[in-house]
This record gives sequence, C-alpha cells and structure tokens, in this order.
Amino acid sequence: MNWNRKFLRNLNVNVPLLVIALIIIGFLAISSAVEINHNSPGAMAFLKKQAVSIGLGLLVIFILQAFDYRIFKEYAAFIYVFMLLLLSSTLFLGRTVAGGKRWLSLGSFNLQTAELAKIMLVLVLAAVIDSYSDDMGYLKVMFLPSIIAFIPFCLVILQNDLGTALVLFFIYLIMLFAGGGNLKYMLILFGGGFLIVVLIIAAHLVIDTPLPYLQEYQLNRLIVFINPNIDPHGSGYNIIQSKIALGSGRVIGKGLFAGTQNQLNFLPEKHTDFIFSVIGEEFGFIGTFFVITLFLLLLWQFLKIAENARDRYGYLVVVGIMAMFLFHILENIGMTMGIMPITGIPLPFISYGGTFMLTSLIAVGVVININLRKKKLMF
Amino acid sequence: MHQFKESTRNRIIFYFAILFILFIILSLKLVWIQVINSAEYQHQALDQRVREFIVNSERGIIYDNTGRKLAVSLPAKTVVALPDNIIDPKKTAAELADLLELDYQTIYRRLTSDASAIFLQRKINDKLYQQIADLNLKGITFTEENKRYYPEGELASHIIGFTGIDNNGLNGLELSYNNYLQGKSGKIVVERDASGKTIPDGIREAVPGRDGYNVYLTIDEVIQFMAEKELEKAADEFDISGGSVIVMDSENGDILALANTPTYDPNKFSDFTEKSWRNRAISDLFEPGSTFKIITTASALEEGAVTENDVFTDPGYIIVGDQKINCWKLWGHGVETFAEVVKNSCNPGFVEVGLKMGKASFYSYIKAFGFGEKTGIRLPAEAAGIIPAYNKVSDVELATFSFGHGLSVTPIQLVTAVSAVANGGKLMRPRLVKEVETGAGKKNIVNKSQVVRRVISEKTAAKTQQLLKQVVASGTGTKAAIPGYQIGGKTGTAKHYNEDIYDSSFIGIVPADQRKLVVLIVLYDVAGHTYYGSQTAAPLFKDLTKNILGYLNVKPDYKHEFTYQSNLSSQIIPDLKGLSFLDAESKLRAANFNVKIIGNGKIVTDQLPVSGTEAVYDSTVWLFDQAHSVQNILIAVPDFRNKSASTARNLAARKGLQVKTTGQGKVVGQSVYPGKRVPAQTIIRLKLR
Repeated sequence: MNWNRKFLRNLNVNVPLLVIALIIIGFLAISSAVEINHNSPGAMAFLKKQAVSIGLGLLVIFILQAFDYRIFKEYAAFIYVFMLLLLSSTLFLGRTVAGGKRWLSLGSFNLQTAELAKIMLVLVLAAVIDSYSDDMGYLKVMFLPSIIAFIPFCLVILQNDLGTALVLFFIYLIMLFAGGGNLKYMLILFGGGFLIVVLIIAAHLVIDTPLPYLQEYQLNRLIVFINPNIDPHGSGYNIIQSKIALGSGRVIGKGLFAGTQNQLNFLPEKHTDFIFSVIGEEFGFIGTFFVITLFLLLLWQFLKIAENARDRYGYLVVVGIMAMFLFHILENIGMTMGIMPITGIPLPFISYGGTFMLTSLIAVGVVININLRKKKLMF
Repeated sequence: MHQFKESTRNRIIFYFAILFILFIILSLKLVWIQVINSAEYQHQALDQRVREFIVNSERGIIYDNTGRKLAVSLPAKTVVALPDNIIDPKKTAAELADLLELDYQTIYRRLTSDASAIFLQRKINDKLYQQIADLNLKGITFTEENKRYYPEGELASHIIGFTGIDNNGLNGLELSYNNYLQGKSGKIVVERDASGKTIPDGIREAVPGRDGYNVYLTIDEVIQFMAEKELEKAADEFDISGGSVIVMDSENGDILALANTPTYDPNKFSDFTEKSWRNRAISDLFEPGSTFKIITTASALEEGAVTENDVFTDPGYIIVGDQKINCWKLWGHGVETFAEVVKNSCNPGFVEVGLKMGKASFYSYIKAFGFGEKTGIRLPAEAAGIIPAYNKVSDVELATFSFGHGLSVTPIQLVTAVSAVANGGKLMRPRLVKEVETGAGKKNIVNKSQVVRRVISEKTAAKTQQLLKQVVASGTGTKAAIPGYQIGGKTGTAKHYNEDIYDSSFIGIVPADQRKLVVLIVLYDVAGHTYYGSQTAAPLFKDLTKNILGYLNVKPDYKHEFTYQSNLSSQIIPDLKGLSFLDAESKLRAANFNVKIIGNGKIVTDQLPVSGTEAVYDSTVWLFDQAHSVQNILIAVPDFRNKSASTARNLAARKGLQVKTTGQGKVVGQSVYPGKRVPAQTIIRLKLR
C-alpha cells in the first residue's frame, strides 16, 4: 500500500469530470440506440450490463489509487507473459463470434482479451523503452520494443481483429517516438512498411495474388471507404447510412429518441460502432462538436499529466494511454464520417461494450494514479 | 528526480499540436456534413423511409340521353409476380407463357428480375384469372385494377373512343373529357423502417382520391343503333370506302346519333386498324356538292339578291370567264323560276345566283354558317374544312362554290349549317355532352345548348325550307320522301378530280313534332354505276328517317300534304329613275317587288329590269346610283330559240336584256350564244322565221 492524503491535492479534477460527462452522454445515446422508448425487448438488459461495467470500472479506479504505479514497471515481465497467455488461450479456448475467436468466457462474463492487451502493452512497452532511455534514437535499440509489440500484434491479428491490432501498432508508434525514437529511422521503417502493404493490396486487386491475414470483407471495407456508392446496399451501406444520420441531424438534431435513422434501424451497429452517428442525428452538430471537444480536453489533460509525471515511466504510460484513446476516437469518429475505413473499433466511454469500458476506466485509473504522484513543483 | 531531455519536451509539444490539428480536421468534416451539406442528407433520410402509394380512382360512367350505360369501369385482375418468392422460375415461366400468350424469355426475365414485385399481365379476363389461380403458383399473386368496358361494343365507338391500359383516354370523348372522367388518384404516404415494414403510427399524409365524374350524352342509343345499321347496309349494298351519318336536333344542336363505317369495337380496339378508329364525320373533308346549294339559297334569299319567283334560264350550261360550266341535265332546264332552280338542282341557275350575290357577300355567309372553322363539338381531331382564301378566288371559283364545288367541309359542319336553316336561322354549337355529374353535394356541370350566332332571319329560313320541301316532294330528292311527313332536303354528288369515284350525300330536315331534326348521310368514294346522291344516300336517308320517326312516335299527317304554291301574277315595274332610294324602295315594296340596291348614293340613276317590264309578284328589281353602272352587271343570255317575239322580248326584259327582232314567227337564231354572260341591257338581235 502506498497512499498519502496529500496526493489528493495533486488531483487534476478535469479528468474525472470529463470522463463522467462522456459516460453520461454515452449512456443516453445507448438508451436511444437500444430503443428504450419503445420498451423493445432486451433494451433494459443492455443498459444494465453497461451500468455494471461502469460501476466495476469506477471501483477499479479507486482500488488502483492505493498502489504506486511503478509497481507495473517492476512486474512488467510478469504482465507481459500474462498478456501473451491470455491472448493465446483465447485462440484455443475462445468463443467464435463473427469469424474470429475474441472472447474468453469467465463464468457469466465474456472477456474480450484483446481489449485488456492494449493497456497491458502500454505498461510493458513503457518499462522497456524507459530502460533504454539514454541510447534511444538508434536502430538497434528500437529492436527490443519492436519485438515486444510485434508478438501480441500477431496474436491479435490471428484473432482476426485487425482493428485492435492497429490500435496496438499505433500505441507502439506513439510511445516509441515519445521515448525519443529517431524520426528518420521510423519514417524509413514504417513508411516502407506502409508502402509494402499498399503494394500487396494493389497486386491483389489487379492480378489477384493471395492476401495474407486480410479477409475479403476487410478488403471490401477498405474499397468502399474510398467510394461507398460502389455497393450501397452491401459493403457501402454502413457508411452511407451513418453519413445520412449525421447529416440529417443538421445543427440542432432531431431530439433524443427522435432520430429516424436510428429508431427505424437504417443505421447498423448503432449502439456500438456507430453510436457517434446516433449522437449526431439526435443532438446535431452541437452534440457532436460538444463530444469531440470533451475528448480534446481530456487528451489535453492527459498530455499535461504526462509532462508533469514524476518519472519517464509515468510519462510514457500516460502517452501510451493517450495514444490508445486517440486512435479509438480518430478511427471511430472518422469511420462514421467516411474519412476512415470501417473497423469494429468502439468510441471510448460512449459505445456499448463491457470489456472496453472496463479497459478504458482502468486506463483512466492509471492516469489518475500517475497524476496523483506527480513530480513536486519547485517554488 | 528525473529531468526530461529537451528533445522529449519538444515531442510533447509536438503531440499537443497534433491533437489540436486532428481536432480541427474532425470539426471541419463535421461542419461539412452536418451544416453545409445537411439539407441533402436530410432529403436522403426522408427519401429512404417515406413511400408513396397510389390509390386508384374509378373512371366515370358514360350514359346516353336515356340513362343507358355506354362505358363503365369494371374490376379486373392484374397478374403480379413476386420474384423473391418464386421457387422454380423456369417451370413457372413455362406454365404462364402458354396461358398469358407471352414469350417464355420475357416472362422468365421478369420472374427473375431485381424488383420486389412486377406486373406480368394487366387486367386479364375472369376466365384467364381462374385458370392461373387454379395453378396455385408460388410467388404469383393478383391485384385488382379497374378496366374500361363498353357494354354495347361497337355502338357509338367513334364518339366514346377508348382508354389505354392506365385508364387514360386515348380517343373520342374518353380523351376530350379525360379530365372529368378520370378522377384523381389518391395517395398515401407512409413511413417505413429499414426492413420495409410500415410503422403503425407512421402515416404522414393521406390524400383521398376522387372517382371520375359521370358524363351524360345527347346521343340516343336507339337512334345511334339505327344509324349504324343503316351504314352497315350501305357498306354491303354499295361500293364505298366508308360513310358517315349524323342526326342532329336543330333546336338545341344536340347530336342524337353520329356514326361512321368502317367502325371498331373499343373493348379490343387494338385488333382493329387505326383507320377504323377514325371519326370521319368530324375529321374527314368532302366536297359537299349540291347539298351546299342549301347554303347558297339561304344566303341569296337573306341578302335579297334573289327571290323564289325571279326568272332564270338554263340552256344546259353557263359561261363564266373562259370556263363553261355544265348543268347535270344535258339540254338544260330552260326558263325557270328560282324555286324551280332549287327543285331541279340546276347548276347554271345557282351560278347566276352566286355571282349576283357577289364575292364579298357570299363569303360572309359561308363564314357565318361556320364553314372553314371547327364547330367546337369537343371531340379530338376535328377538321376545320377548306375555304379557299378570299383574294385567291375569281368569278369561276365563286361560281363553283355556289353549287358546292371547290371547297371542302366536314359532315358535322354541314349538319350544323343546315340546322341553322331548320331552326329558324340560329347557328348552334353541336352538343354531345349534356351534363357532367360531379358527385354528391356538388352542382352538376351543365353544358347548356349554345347559339353561336344568328345567320339568317326566320323568314328566310322558312322560305328556304319551303324550297327544300319541293325538292323532296317533286324534285331531285323524291327517293327520300316519306308519305305523311313534310321533309325538306337536298342530294349531293361530287366527283373526285380525275377519277370516276364520287362522294354522295343527302341532307334532310325532318319535322318531328315541335322540333326539327337534321339528318345527313355521306358515302365516301362511291364507285360503280350507282353513285348519285339521289340513288344512294337518299334511300338510306328515307329508311333511317322512317325508323327514327317510328321510334320517336311522330305520327304521319296525310291531311296536310305539302304542295308548293307561289303567286305568279304579273305586274308592271314602275319608273324609278330620279327618285331617292328611300322613295324608290318603298314604292317597289308597296307594289310587291323585291329590291336590291347597288351603291350608297341618294338618287336612283338606273334600274334593272327597265320600267314597264311585266314581271311576276315578288321578283327582284335592282336599283343603281350614280357611281354604279348597270353595264357592270353581267346577264346570262337565255336560249330564245323557238320562242315568239313577244315571249322573247318579255323574257329578255325580265332578265335585263334587250332584243331586236327581224322577221316573223319563231326565233331561229340569236346574235349572242345562250349561256354567255353579257352586260345588262345589251341588245341581242334575234332572227325569226
């Protein structure tokens, strides 16, 4: 136990306030998306489940504050092994849903292990990068963090969860750079990698070469992202309906429970992936602008906390968590507006989904922990 | 305590910047979708959840003037395929192809189309419906539509017309009264969810439809039937390309029957040629021939250019300009009164009448009687007829107009014009539709009978009718006579230019109790030996009229048979020179002369015939002023041969010529050929022996 009442003076209250605001907005949007106003069967069950996840997450935040975050650095190797075990056991024991094994059943609770992997990777990567601090910037010291990130990346790909894999990659990228990674090498490495991926996809489209690790439907999502009207009733349907929902909400929105795209089921996956479109339809531009402003302010606070962290480890962890949220926000909101390809990535604090809500709140808890134990100011 | 390197601090600032830029990008894209282009998305959202359903309206019924139905709407089944529900499209298509008499490929294509529902065949008959329903095919259903049905088949088909598959009028009254008959289809706008289900409380708009209005015609189904039977008979009996019959009530312009042959059955109009759809009675032009003399007669009498007792001479032809115009009777009708000219249908006589009337005056009557313009019967494709342009018409053409050649009219124009003679001088607008029933609680639209204009006086009309009655009683129209009825009428035969085919016609005025009916029979392109209107159309007219009078229960009156009587007592023309026109006219009227004044001066300077001439009661005396010379009037020279000196002198004087005789006995030679037109008061030298 490591607790001191003086820590509370360090608390950046903006963080819990912003998170609570986002959770409330999300809860309202979900209740409209599951049509609680129509007493539709199961609507209440959805809301209850979400409330339990939120409650559990808040509890974890409080518990977390009793420990010093540096304990994660000490047990980094242990966390890493645990993470790999969790991911690989999912591959063998997991439930198959929608073409991928992503869920591990723990009694009545189904755990999406890849979600937990995100926060675990942050904690482990921060420890690794921190230990190389002085020599970072050279190609050879980028090697170990890359290997550390690459193994869980591959396991998640094997779960057929391209979206989460991309989150892991993004976290790794942002943390590496934050830890002092040489920009020139990073550009050569990842720019080159990106080019190879583009070439592989282009070759598949033009001369029909096989595509490793990418399902046909994922490729279709990529193509319709460029032009959804190629297949308006098939792969392009989601993007078109989402944009119609956002656009028809106009500036002030149609009002809670009054969104036709939402309530008449034109909008797919509306309580999870496309929850932002529901907000856009029912609360208009005012609503969506408010939400992204809250996100900006929250991540802004994260960066400030990172800047004032007591040590490099804390700094790297907060940047990693910031990266995780940033990718989710960019990808999810961008997808609803048609500027990002569709991947099943939820919107933090707002989308329905227990594991992700839990992961997000744990992440917030870790950030608050680092915030409370920030460096002393010199007067 | 750990101190960050400067580069690390810069990287955090870099992340702050990135965060802010990304926030700006997302905001701009949101503005783009939710503010700038939001109207378009709003439209799309509405578009995909709102559906319009059309609720068909029932087309109005067409009744005849006694309330019998001529056109009705009946429910009929339409075969609909639901491609998603069809299990074996090949087998289904094969089974349907036989029954629907459609191409297998066509049906197969429709059965496998993308649509959720598609019409296979619309408005099929009950028998076919039963057959298809008995097959019990999966994915084949029926919907009810309204189909137009004409219970009387061919009857009045040219008047009623027909509708297309969408219940839109395509011809006849179905077309011209489409706005009334069609009604307005209603619509229901409903909101549907993404799966296509209608939302229970989602009706956004319901515009009720309105059934079509019922239309009541002036047509009498029985008379129409008689007219069509008569035409059928004509088509069998004569070598004709077609014929038209119109029966009009002259009092109000009501069309009681309007029929044509060839005809068609509107229930299956597409099985007939387009030619048979043609309503020739209103769309086709023909040269009226002698029937037009009724118009010449009425105009000349009204104008005072001629009276029934004026003397005419017909040597068998008349010369106008350099053209010789023959009478139908080779040797001519000799000396005759105008009444006899009409009775004999004498062409040279009518030429003289037309020329005496003059171009301006004759033209104004032709126009006033409605020729050269549509009658306004409100049927599609009415023709206006052809009256040659005024300033292109010379004396020769004017001469041919007077006996109905050189101009083209439609049957309906001729009937309407003659109706004006029959009803006392009013040109009526022909009326087919009496009333349009606009549904409960609203006033019906009544199509009141309409006088276009008064053309001639009642007196002239009555006189013209008298002259026409003698045509039927003892002239060229005797084959149209029906004992016990005082029918007036006129035959017409017009030869086609350079061909031995004719348009033959008869038009009659039939008294039927208080009103007078006008009945016209036209036979087109008559070939063979029997072609005169008097031989072809007149007997048809008689049969038809007899049937009509029997049906209308008009009793014959044998006590008051028609006889033509005219006062032909002689009287001497007084000297009028030097008198004022007013005095001269009253003096002549007092002495029972007809007066025709040429010019608008004050003092009479000349007269025709000259004073002292022995003329009959009511004959015409022409008065001239200073500006108009009697020499400008051209007089057709009579055939004086075989006449005594005094008879010849008297005839010459009555016509406005002078003679100088040499020798005794009967005239054997004359200095000017008969039929040639010379200036009035020219001296003709006669040789007697």
